[in-house]
Order: sequence, then C-alpha cells, then structure tokens
Amino acid sequence: MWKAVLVIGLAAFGAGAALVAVPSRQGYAELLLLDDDIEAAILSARSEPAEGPPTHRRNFLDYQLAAAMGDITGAATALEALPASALVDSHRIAFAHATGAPETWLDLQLRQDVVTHSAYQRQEVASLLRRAGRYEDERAYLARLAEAGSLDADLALRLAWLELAAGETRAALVRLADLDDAGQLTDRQGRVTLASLLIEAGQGTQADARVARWDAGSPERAMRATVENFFASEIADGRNIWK
Amino acid sequence: MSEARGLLRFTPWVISLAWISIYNCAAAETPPDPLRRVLALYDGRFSAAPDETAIHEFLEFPANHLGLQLVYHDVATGLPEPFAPGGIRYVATWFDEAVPNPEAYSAWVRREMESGRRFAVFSEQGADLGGEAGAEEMLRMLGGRYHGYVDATHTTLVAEAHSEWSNFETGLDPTLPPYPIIETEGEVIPLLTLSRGDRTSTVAFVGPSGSFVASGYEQRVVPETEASVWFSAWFIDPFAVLEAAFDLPLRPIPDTTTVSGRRIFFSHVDGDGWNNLSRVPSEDGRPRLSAEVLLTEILLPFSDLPVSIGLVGGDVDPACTSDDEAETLARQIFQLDHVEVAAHGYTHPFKWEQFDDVPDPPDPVPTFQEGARHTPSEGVGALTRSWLAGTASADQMADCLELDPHAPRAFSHVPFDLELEIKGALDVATSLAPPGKPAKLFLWTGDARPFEAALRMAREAGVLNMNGGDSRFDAWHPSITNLSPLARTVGQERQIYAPNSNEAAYTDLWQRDHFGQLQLLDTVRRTEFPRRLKPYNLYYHTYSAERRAGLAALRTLLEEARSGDYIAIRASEYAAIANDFFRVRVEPLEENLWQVSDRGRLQTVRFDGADDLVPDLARSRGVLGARQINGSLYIALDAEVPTALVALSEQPVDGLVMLEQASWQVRGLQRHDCGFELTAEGFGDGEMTWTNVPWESLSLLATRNGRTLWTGTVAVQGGEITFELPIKAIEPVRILATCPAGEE
Repeated sequence: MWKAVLVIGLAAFGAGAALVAVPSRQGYAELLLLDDDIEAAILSARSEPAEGPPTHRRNFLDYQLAAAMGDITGAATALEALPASALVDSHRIAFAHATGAPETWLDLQLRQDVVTHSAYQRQEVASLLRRAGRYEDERAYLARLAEAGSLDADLALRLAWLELAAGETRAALVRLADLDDAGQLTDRQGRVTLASLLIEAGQGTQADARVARWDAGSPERAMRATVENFFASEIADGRNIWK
Repeated sequence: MSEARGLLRFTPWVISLAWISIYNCAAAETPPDPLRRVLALYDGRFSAAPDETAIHEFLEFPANHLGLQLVYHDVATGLPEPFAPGGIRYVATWFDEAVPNPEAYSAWVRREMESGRRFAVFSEQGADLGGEAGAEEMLRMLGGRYHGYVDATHTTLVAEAHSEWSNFETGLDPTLPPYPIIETEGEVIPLLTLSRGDRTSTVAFVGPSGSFVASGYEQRVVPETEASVWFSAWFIDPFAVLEAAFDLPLRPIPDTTTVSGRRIFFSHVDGDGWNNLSRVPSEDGRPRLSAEVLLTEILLPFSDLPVSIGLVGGDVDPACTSDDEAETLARQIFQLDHVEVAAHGYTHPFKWEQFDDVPDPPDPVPTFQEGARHTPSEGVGALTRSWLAGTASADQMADCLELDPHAPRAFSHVPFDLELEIKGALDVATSLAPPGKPAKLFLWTGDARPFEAALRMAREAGVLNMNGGDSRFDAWHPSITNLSPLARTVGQERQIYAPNSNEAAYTDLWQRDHFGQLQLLDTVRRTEFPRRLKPYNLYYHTYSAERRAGLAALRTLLEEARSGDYIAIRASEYAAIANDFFRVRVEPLEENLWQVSDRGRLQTVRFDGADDLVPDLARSRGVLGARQINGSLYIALDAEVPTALVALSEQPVDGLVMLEQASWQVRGLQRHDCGFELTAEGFGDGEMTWTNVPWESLSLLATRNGRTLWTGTVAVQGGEITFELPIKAIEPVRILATCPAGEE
C-alpha cells in the first residue's frame, strides 16, 4: 500500500514538476528571443493575451518584441515602464544609443556606479561630456573616478585642466605634479603649465628641478627657454623665477 | 557673347602639369574653371594621398558647398607653378608642421600673394613662425605680425570673438590650445582675439590676402588617443571664412542637392545579403530569401520611388547556387520600372587597397594575404553567417563564400580579377535586366576606397561610380566635419561619395539595433536647415530585409521621402550631377548676369544671401524658375539650353511664368503669350507650382507621343498655380498649359 502511495505521490510530483518546467507562452517567447527567432517569439507572445496588470517581465518582453519589430515608440514605452535596475539600465543605455539620444545615454551612464565602468566606457563618457560642453559634469565625473582610483593618466591630465579652468589652481598643480612624478606628464603644454604654476606659487626651485629633468631627456632642451619666455616680463623686471 | 568674353574663354592658361593631369581626369572634358578652383596644398610626407589630408576631411565639404573644387598638390614633390592670369586664384593650406623647404615655400607664398592669389591658411602655416626665414613676412602679408608663442594658456582669456563667424558649432574648450601671439595690422577682420595680461593676440582673422586660423582654433577637438581624433567640430564658420578669405562675389553656385526647386531624394541598395535567409517569412510561413522580402515588402509597395539595386555577381554565379532563385529574383527586380540596374562587385572586396597592382593578365590572388588582414567594413558577418541558416543551396554557396570575418573578399571561389570585379559584375547585372536596360552604376564594396585602376575601369565601362564617404550629421555626430565632400580624387580618376551612410553604420555592422537607420532622419533634418547641405540619400543593403526592424526602418524612411518636399531621381542621376559639378563653368558677364555652361546633368545653381533677388527672365536664357530656400535662391535651369544665362534683379518680369518647384524634372520650357509648355519626367504623381502667372486659370493637357494622358483646368491664385498630374512619367510627358480664350 505504502508503495502505491509512494508511486502515486512521485507521479503527482513529477507531473507537477513537469508542469512547472514547461515554460509559459511568455517564457517560451523569451526563450525564442534568446534564440533570435523573432517570428516564433512574436507568435508565441501573441497566442497568450496578457491578463491582469502588466508585470515587469511582460513589459520587458514587450520591449524586446517591439524593438525587434522596429516599433521604437512601443519599445520606448515598454522600457519606460520598467523600474531602474542594472539590467534595465543597460538596455536603456543601448536603446538610447540606437535611437540617437546621447544626452539620455550620458545621464544613464552617470547614474551608474563608476566602479563598474570599463576603461573604454570611462573614455567614452568623459569624451561625450567634453563634446557636449558639460565641463562641470565632466569634472565631477572625473573626480568620482579619481576617488574610486579609476582615473587613467590622460583623464587625470584632463581633470587637471578642468580644475585649472575652474580656478582650483592648487588641486590642478598637485595633480600635474603627481602625474609628472609618475612619469606620465609627457604633454608639452602640461609640463609648461606645471612649471608655470609652481613658479606662480613661489616654488621656483621645484620648477627648476623639473625643467632640468625634462630638458635632460629631450634633444631640443627647449623647456627652460619656453618657461622663461612665458615669464619674460617678470624676468625683464629683474625677478629670478627659478627661486 | 562679346568678343572680349570669347577671348577670355580661350585664354591659354599657364598651369602646372599636375593641374593639367587633374583636369584631364575624371571625365572632365572642358577646361578647368579658374573661378571655382582652389589649389589645396598638402604635405605628402604625412598624408600619403589627398583623401588622407585634413583638407579633404574638413575643408573640402564646405568648399564644395560654396561651389569650389579642390585641386590637390603635394608640396613634398615641389612647389606648384606660379600664378598666371586666368589660372587658379585661390589656395588652401592645412599643415601640421613646416613643409620640406619652408624658406622656398614662404617665398613662393609671398610671390603668389603679390600676384593676387588669395590664401586660406588653417593650422600651421607651413613655415615656422619665429623660425624659418620669410615665415613672419608671409604672416604679415596675410595681415598679422608675429610676437612669440604661448604654451601655458591657463592665464589666457578670450578677449573678443566674432559675433557671427565664430562659435559656429562649438565654443572653445576651457583649456585653450597653445597659440602664437599675433598683432593684426591693416584692414583685418578679427575672428578671435585672446588676451593674457595686457597682451592680446588675434589667432584667427581675415586679412588683405586671405585668412589665417591658428592651429587648434579652427575646430574644437576631442582626442581619442594622442594620434587620433574622436570628435571635432568647427569653432569658426568655415563657410563664412572661406567666402571672406577668397573674397568670393555673389555668384551662381553649382548645386548638387536640388532639382526643379526640390531637394533630391534618391536611394540605392548594395546587394549584400541577397541570398540570406530572411527572418521574415511569407504570410503562409514559407522561408524567403532577403531579396524576395526586399521585392515584396519594399520595392513593390514603394514603386513611386526610384531605387538603384547593385547586384553582387557572386550571388548569382551558377558555381555558387544550385538553383536559380537568386537569379530569378534579380530578373524580377530589374524588370521593375522604378528600379535602376547597378553592380556591387563580383567577389565583393572588403579592402580595395589589397587588390591594387594585381598583374595583368590577372594572377590568382591568395584569399588571405600575409600581413594584410583587416576588419571588414560592412556586413560580412551577416552575409556569411546567415547563409549557414540554410537555404536550398546553402552548402554550395558556403563553398564560395569566405566565412572568416577577416577575409579580404566575400566570395573567394575565383581569383581576384579587376575586369571580372567591375565589368564582369556590370555584365552580369545587365544580363539579368530586360533588353535595353543596362547597368548604369557601379557601387563600391567594402571600405569603398577603390584604387585608380578600378575607378578607371568603371569609367571605361561607361558607368558612373559611387559609395564611400560615410557622412553622418546627427545627435551622435553633431558636426559638419562628419559630412564628406562630393568626391574623392584618386590619381586621375574621381570617386563620387554617397551622400549618406547606410544601415551598417547605425547597427554596428548589422549586429544589433536593426532599426538603427531611423537615425538617418536626424541627418536628413540637419542637412536641410539652416543650409541645404546634402540630398536625402537612402542607402542600404539587401540584408535590411532580413529583419522586421530593418524593414520597419526602411518603410519609415521611404514614407518620409514620399510625403516630404522631395524630387525623387535615380542614383545614377545623382552621381552624374555630382560628377558634373566638376565640369560646370560659370562666367560673370556683367553686373548680376552670368553664363553657366558645360552643366551636363547639373541643372541647379544657387545664390547665397540673395533673399531679396529674383531671376530677371528678360535678360536670362534657359532659366525655368527659382525658389527661395533658407535665404538662398535656387535657380532651376533648362537642360535643353546648353549655355544658360542667369540674370538677377529685385523684381520679377511681368508675364513670364517661373517654376517654383516640381516633383518631376522639367525641361524644354516654352513660354507663350497664352500659356506655356514643357517636357517633364519623374516618379510618382507630378506636383508643380508655377509663379508669376498672369492668367486667371490654365487648361492643362498632358500627352506622350501625341496621345492624351490627362487633361484638367486649374485656377490661378495670387499669380501662383499648383497642380498635380496623376499620371506616370517615368517616360517623358509633354505638358501644355493654355490660358482661357481672351486672356492672351
């Protein structure tokens, strides 16, 4: 008897499990989409009309189907109805890219944790902010990267320029000096600017040492003359800029 | 024409051999028009060919828009011949550093300026200021005196920027580039003046001999790496600066965007993906090739819009197909009246450069050349992968196709043979078209950078060529620096660029976002206002028919063409118009009167800044009419009048009707005392507006070969008449408009 009960129980469990394992029409459509079988996915989704209030899952499927159909308005509406999440945001970013919405693309990127940004992504976001003339946002983004320890050398130089333009001379000087100390300040304008900032800050001796190092590594040995040219009027007034 | 003008026309110009060779090139049959030519100097040590120069990338497009055509000269090969009366009077330079012989160069420049040549100098001037002898004198003749250089710009401010000619697409970056300290003297228009302390420097200006714009102040650049640029946009207005630098007068500008007063629409299709299995089956669920889907979903529903289809020869090669489905589809498509026959290569090279210098007769070229691998530039992935999805002859086709995405050609079942690639492909396309309908156009494949022999072969085959350019002007590329010029010069040949990008550019090579070409609408809008810069070109591949999203995008883009204010023409007609841009001669005869000849297919000239002027039809000849668009006056010329006279005045001449716009091409206009008649041809219904109409109504009669096609009567309102002819005019029709009796 107990064996029969066990068999019936197992059979019932198996049938239940099988029912659970068989995907719904919606789940089937999702699988078909994963398989890039758009036509079958559309047919499957349409064969089971949506009942009740739309779920996030249903909205996400609607978004994918609309995009696959080239229905941009429908895709945007479905995407808009979804709550923010890393996955949804990644789709919003892709959608903004595909529909020619760089401002939306940027705002979504800026909403993310910068730690998750790849080196390419960091360059892309910073460049796009720069292109858009959103210099304050660019500076804030680069500062976030610096805090997170993800600031690449060229972006660090860019941050120094933005700090300088914003009047944060001290921060810019430190950043340029750090770059130089790390052997990453190879840009001529950056070097002259660093020397100039040091001299303007009364640190002519340090500027002198750096300029000597740069000239020693350069066949033209032109940095000293360039810096002295920059301070031509001060030198003409009798000031020793290297002290 | 007066005797003096006749003499002027045949003045034997003393020009360098290089210019003569350029003139002979590219099917130019008439002497160069010195009023429209600009000598573009570049340094071949840094740019191997003209199309790799900053001038080609940035300056040639605005120059073309102003009606100017560039003649390139490599200063590394020596200095150009000196200026002679009747020769090229304008020079443009854009150097990164000093040219090979800077002293001789600056002496040459000074002599040329003294002779009356005008210079537009962008970036470095070719001889180092503060260095080479004569460099400062050269700048002085432009209107500036050099006083040194500023590397550290953190204490520099913008003192003054020209209110109209600066901040064109972008402002300056908060970090200013290093700059020369320049004090202007004489009659100079400052464009940008910087200040540091009490010292000012005018780093961009227009002076007595041309213009100077210091390096970094032409455009704002966002670098990608130290060596490459991710984005650039003009800080100064290149149109205004070129006009001012060359002191260009009011003149008819040959225009390639407009026909019959309407913006050109044309469409062309590269055949890639012809045999791809579409993901869009028939209504009964039958799998279909992309070519069939293209036919049924796009070509037939939009039969009022012409399209040129470039077949890939390999797609219908019997060696690659076990059935004739692809060939049958080609025949069905080419049979359509609105479809123009074109070719898109035989084996579809991806990187043309790799196939240059192939011995003749052709030797087999290995499929892969050692050290010459590259990234394919268009949908090879789609082309090959989709094939494996399966059709009747998929396996056989797979044997012909290169499945490696880095392969140099799509098909590799035959050795590369330039003649097969071009003439063979054209012959195949022609053989599948109805009799009397030969292939008219060769559409470049892959990177669309054909070498000279390839271009020559296309020309010798009697067809025009097109593709390349990759123009975009949209939210992601918000600058005209992304718009290509009309053409690329290669040796003595010319390649016509496609005015717009295809779907591969919007879909990451057809790998995602298959609706992405909808962004083309942004480019179409931005190239219409505030200046009409390009025609509307819908350019795509057969593989767009693989997916519903691609089809949906195409339908939207075609609906825009159908409903908007466009005139639809064939792609080969646009290519001819662009090619003939380089032939047109414009000669000023007297005040506000010009002769425009050697026009070929180009029948529109434009006057910029002429919003208070109209054609003076009493003094003009061969002028159909005019339309004001964005403050410019577009003049439609009559193709049946080879040498047109265009005169302008402030008031229209009473009683002489003028064409404002038409959706068909109009020619052979005859104005009568009681009406007018003309020949017209085009696609879709014929919409026309005529102005300056002195009658109250007009009876219209449309005929072809004496047979009446349509009649009607239309009322004139406020001297203007608009009518629509619901007939087909792919074959020309004659239209007679007659005023009511008694109104003569």
